Amino acid sequence: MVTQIDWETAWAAGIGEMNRLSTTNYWNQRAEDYSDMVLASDCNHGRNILNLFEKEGLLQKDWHILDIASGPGAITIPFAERVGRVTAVEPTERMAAALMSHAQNRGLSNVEVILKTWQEVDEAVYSKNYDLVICCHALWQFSDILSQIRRMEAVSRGYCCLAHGFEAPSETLKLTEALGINEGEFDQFITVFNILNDSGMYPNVDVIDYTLNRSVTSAVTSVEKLVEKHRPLNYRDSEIIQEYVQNHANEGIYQVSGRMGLLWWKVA
Amino acid sequence: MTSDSLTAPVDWVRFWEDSYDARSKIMFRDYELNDWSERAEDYSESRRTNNYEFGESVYSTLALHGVVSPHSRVLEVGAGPGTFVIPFAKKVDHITAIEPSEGMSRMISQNAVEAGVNNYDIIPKIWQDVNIEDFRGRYDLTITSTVIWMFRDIMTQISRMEEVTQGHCCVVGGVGTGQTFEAELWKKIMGNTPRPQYPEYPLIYNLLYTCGRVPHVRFINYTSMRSPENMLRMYRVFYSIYTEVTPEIEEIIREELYRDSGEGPCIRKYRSAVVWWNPAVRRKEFTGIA
Repeated sequence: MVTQIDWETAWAAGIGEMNRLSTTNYWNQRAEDYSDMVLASDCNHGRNILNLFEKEGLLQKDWHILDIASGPGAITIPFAERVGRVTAVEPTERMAAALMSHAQNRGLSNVEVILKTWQEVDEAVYSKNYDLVICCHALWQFSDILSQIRRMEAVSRGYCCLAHGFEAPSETLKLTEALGINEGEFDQFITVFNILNDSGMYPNVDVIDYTLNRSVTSAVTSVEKLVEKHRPLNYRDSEIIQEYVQNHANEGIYQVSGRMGLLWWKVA
Repeated sequence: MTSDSLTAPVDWVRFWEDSYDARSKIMFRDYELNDWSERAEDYSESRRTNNYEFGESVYSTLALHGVVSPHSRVLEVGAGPGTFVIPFAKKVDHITAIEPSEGMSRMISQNAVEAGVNNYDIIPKIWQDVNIEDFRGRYDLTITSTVIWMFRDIMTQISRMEEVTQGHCCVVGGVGTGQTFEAELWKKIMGNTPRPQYPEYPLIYNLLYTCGRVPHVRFINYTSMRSPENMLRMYRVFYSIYTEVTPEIEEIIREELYRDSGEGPCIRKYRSAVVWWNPAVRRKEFTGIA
């Protein structure tokens, strides 16, 4: 007997704990270190997504992009440098402020922010309004993931693209292991992949390498906040984090490399 | 089901074996090499549709992503009537066909003469019998389509395909297109016997992923056109695997084909996933969020 797998239920169950811990308040606290990373990495993963669409011969100068859960602009900034307009959906005020500051510093006037969660955005208002809708590393926010993806399709007249961790940077894994932080075995990428295929969306799949740079201070803060997401930070934790980051930094920059999986498709 | 069992990794190898066994259980007899010789003509007609549209589309997809080039040496596992041999031979350095069926091999030669290509060879064996030591690292691309469902030991055979290439591997697998003809015909002939599944995509992606590969995927759409006689020949072989094909059953097939396409050729639209990966690139386990 070959069993059918209910991927949507599996997603809701798997994402529950992460969803509960990763609040808007958490991301407000992470705004500074995350922003530092995006800038120090020159928006590396967004730039790599941009390159993919360019290599596929799809990117057009007059495109209007919707970047869902934009954060400080890892996707928004490189796209805004190349296309007509980018609208970012970002509910965290400090992230949105960081994004607009980055845009301004780079002389980009084609970026705007909708200060809401994606769930709060009325898709009827933006029906078929965008050429590409991207949601990068933020799917954990949606326990009703298929409904939210359908809403993304509703506002796209071109493509949808979901970017997700495919392989964790080995450095990150070693450090979290040393701290006894276990983010669970749930594999978000393959679950989303199967939800999309079961729903007949049949996404193209690409796997892209990325490299993230951040200052030692930013790296230490990010890991401390990660620990605090799970339990109070203690003195020993701080020691482990400081020592690890310092030992792996080069000239004040802590660098990690990982892979992300891109699931993207043309909206019917 | 508990939350833990819902989110635990799926044993895809087991899943694959279960699919294989479920199909075997309802078989009246096993496939034989002669079945494929019998299928050579209809299969060839299907693959030749729109000037080898299927193979040409796969080639274009792989070439666009740097997986195949004019310098490539290609191995096709289960070449049938020259599914990739003919369209690829015009564009690559050399292509080797693994094809055990005499009828299919004859069809490859015939199609090659017509296409004016001779930079190919045929190894008349089933893939499982090929000694990969003779071919280790000799190719730049190992490619296969509509064959992997025959391998119960799927990852053993995939690993063997990887060992003969120093470049990439590619599996082209069909995806469901929601066509009801096959399901309705099965019900008319086989009643409530569950229709056998020949799972290809996305199951193969799940398998490769879970076994640490890093596959890429694109989709191609293509048309298959076959004469009513060739369709009948195909169904006769297919249903003989699951039941005794009586004159009454042949009549049902004829009637359904006529109802579907009249006296003209049967035209079917299909979609396939082109899945390729570099065996040297492996995935480390990913859990949680980075």
